[in-house]
Amino acid sequence: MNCLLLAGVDTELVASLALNALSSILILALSALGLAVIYGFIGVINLAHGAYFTVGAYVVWLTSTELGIGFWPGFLLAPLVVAVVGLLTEVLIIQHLYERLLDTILATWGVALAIGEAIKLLFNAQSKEVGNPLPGSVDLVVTTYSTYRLFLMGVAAVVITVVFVLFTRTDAGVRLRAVIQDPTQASLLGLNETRMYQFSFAFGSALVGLAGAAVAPLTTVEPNMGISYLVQSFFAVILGGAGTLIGIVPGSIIVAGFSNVGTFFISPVVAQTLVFLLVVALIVVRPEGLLGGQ
Amino acid sequence: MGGDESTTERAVGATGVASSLSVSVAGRELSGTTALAALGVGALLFAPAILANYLIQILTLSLIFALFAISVDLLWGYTGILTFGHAVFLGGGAYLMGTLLEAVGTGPAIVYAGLAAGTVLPGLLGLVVAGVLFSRGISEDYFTIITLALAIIAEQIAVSWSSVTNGANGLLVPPARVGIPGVVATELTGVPFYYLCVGVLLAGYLVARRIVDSPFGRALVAINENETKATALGYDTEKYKTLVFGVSSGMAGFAGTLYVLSERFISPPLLGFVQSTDVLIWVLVGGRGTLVGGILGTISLRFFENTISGALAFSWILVLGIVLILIVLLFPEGLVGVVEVARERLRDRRDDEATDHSSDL
Repeated sequence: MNCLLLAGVDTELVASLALNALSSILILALSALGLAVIYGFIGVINLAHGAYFTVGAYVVWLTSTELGIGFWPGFLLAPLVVAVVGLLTEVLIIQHLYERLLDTILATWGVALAIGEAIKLLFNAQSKEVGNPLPGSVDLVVTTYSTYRLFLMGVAAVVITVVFVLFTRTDAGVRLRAVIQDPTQASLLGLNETRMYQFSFAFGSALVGLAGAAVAPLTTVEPNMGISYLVQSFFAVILGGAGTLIGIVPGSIIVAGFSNVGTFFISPVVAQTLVFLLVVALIVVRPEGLLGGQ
Repeated sequence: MGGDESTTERAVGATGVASSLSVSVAGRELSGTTALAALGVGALLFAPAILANYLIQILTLSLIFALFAISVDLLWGYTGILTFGHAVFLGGGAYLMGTLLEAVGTGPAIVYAGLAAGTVLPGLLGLVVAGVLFSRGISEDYFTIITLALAIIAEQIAVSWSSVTNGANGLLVPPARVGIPGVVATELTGVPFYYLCVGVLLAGYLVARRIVDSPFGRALVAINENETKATALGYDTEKYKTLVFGVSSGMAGFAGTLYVLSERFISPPLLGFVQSTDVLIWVLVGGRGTLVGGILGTISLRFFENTISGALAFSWILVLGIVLILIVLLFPEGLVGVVEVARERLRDRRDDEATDHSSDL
């Protein structure tokens, strides 16, 4: 009897732990997918990716508190705003650096610094709260779980699936990938390579903007919040294998899953240090990525 | 031979600019460079007579950071290894020295032990990190991202390991005494400490110059130019890259130990990514692959940061961010590069006028 009771408690705990891990995996996957498009396809090492995430979170903070029009308009607006920020970055800066891609690291880091400081100037450096737009929880038999987190997991799963299908199953998506990976083909086919780069950059930015907006109610919104997502997204992409979209799935599971579960058992810093060591070890053993080609 | 050399130098870009001064230019221009160097050293020596005390303090710390910048320039400017985590080694050296002074004692023997440990241990850590990563032929961008993560993790560890580091509040370090262990010991502060830092920076510069001009340094430049070609030419590029990373990390650690002697305070951001980025900006603004550029960039940017930035209506970091973008886009070779390009153009024009035909081209 006692055993059964214990088992019951454990099931509930395990279920909520697993759901927590899954939701952070899906959020990271959304952000990493944006990076996979920008870094994996175009090869731009976009260190402003974390700052884009932050911008997404600030958009929902603005609409739900400062502007008073609520969370949902911001949730829809965030990807668009961040897409515009990404497009501006591409047009004003990245476009001039395609001949020296490694320099994009420095230039995009400049963008990240500038965005972070601009946010501090506009809205001060203090952290903000965004209210939960879907308070309450849903009874999932084994456990009850936050409605908003469930919603968020659903949205992330749908968006990720749609993006996969777009890039791998539709004609336009396949052509886009082919063109980006082989620009000479592009000009031969008469396709506008500049446009495609711009589209990819804006699209990848929109994805991370959505991730930032989605996380905002679950955390504190502050000017440097994106930095950890920047590193985790890069790790997820590299682990899975840059250039393969699907690689972000195992990548995100390892990076976000391990640190989420680890944080429950040991201190967050120790967990993150261990994940970092694990990721570096995996990269060293398989530099081409878990799902990368030969 | 002359033709070969000039094409190589052009390919190296900023790196070639410095070496072209010493290699292919004789007579007047070389003496011009020497005069400039003498002027710079003279300015540093006479600064205490002119500048207010607080400016000397700022300058002292700038000299220490300039040594840090030289260590980064060896890596980035000469070898092409871009790291976003070099402050880990600076901060590592600083925390070693700081912990020794705080927990063990402040006498000369401890200080010397701290200087040695703060140089050797970060150097060894650098060797291990670079050895592991380079041995698998990890690409440049992966390396950069891993170093960025290293800096973030290191800063988090420093914040949370409060029994040693006193967490985010930072560690106050008692004043150190130098001299002969057991015989004489005195605190070294103010202008004397400033002169010590001038000497150390000069020595650091000369060591780096020596490294760069050696066969080892030429191998580094070859790696920067084209690693595949360098490997084909028989260079063990992995070994060279690992070695220079170790040397550079040791140098950064040494700068960190001086930082503690100067500031008597350490807090976690010293080993974080912001500090790691700052040094990249100093080197970039001064000019990559010139050694002198790193020194000039550090001193001038830190001077602006500490004097003008207070008067700005917006933050200094915003300025740095925009400067970073503009330099990458417009002047990838930095201040020294701009000056050198201008000089070369002038010289070319003179040469054209001297030879005088088809000068319109």
